[in-house]
Amino acid sequence: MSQSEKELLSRLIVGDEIVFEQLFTQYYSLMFSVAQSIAGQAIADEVIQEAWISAMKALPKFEGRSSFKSWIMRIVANEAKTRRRKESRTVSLESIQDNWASDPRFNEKSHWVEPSSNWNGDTPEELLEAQELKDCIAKNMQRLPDNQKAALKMRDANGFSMDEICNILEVTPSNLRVLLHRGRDQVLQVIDHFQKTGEC
Amino acid sequence: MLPTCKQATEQLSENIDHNIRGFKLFKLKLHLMMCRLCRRYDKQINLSAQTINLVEPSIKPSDSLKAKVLHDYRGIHQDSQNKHK
Ligand SMILES: [Zn+2]
Repeated sequence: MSQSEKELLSRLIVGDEIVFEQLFTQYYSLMFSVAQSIAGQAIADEVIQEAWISAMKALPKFEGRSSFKSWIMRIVANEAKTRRRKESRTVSLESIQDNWASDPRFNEKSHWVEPSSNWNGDTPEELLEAQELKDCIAKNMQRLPDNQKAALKMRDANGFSMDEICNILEVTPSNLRVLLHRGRDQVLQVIDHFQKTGEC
Repeated sequence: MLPTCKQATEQLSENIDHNIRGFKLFKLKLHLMMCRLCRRYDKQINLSAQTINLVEPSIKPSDSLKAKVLHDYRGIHQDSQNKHK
């Protein structure tokens, strides 16, 4: 736990509402993805509310062995799992094999027939100079299946370790690899389409 | 047997998260040497992953949820203060 994080948390313990609001807003998006992927969108906000209650009660005992971010994500995941059982909601992890087998970019021998084009831009910043593409990627990411979205956000946008994500989302390492690959590949295709056509 | 292009794309993504080693890496490298399309894919999947970091769509909490959790937080803080008294 970093010094600045310690400082924030000690202010949280003494009841600093500004710090609370700041953390709540900062982590909302990621917490929402985790809650949604485990318990479904309909009750995600309730799960988040419960998670903050549990977290704030447990905060004085938080020892800082992990970062606050991964601690709070574990709490929201646990809350979501409890709620999922309570509401006996069956979450269908969409079948991993869905239409992956018939990807039109590959031929029957699984070699390229429709490869991606050469891109203009060698860095993410160069690629994202067009605001339109940024919006387009964000929009398409929102449409990904919940578990892919949660995995991508945790891994690529927030730097969680593979082990942490497996624990939080209750997926095996090999399933996580598939989720990440699918999500990234989808983003790659969005960028490629934009490079080819200039359109989202 | 060398990986197919499709298998290579999966392994290239895997390689972002932990380095592929040994014979599997050897076969992947060999495929990449021979296949410019997969070399391109390698570069692009890495770029895509980095891009996600920059565009992560961030959704905002509703005002009513914000008010509810703030209310909870206040209550918990007051409870713990009362205990200390
Ligand atoms: Zn290839």
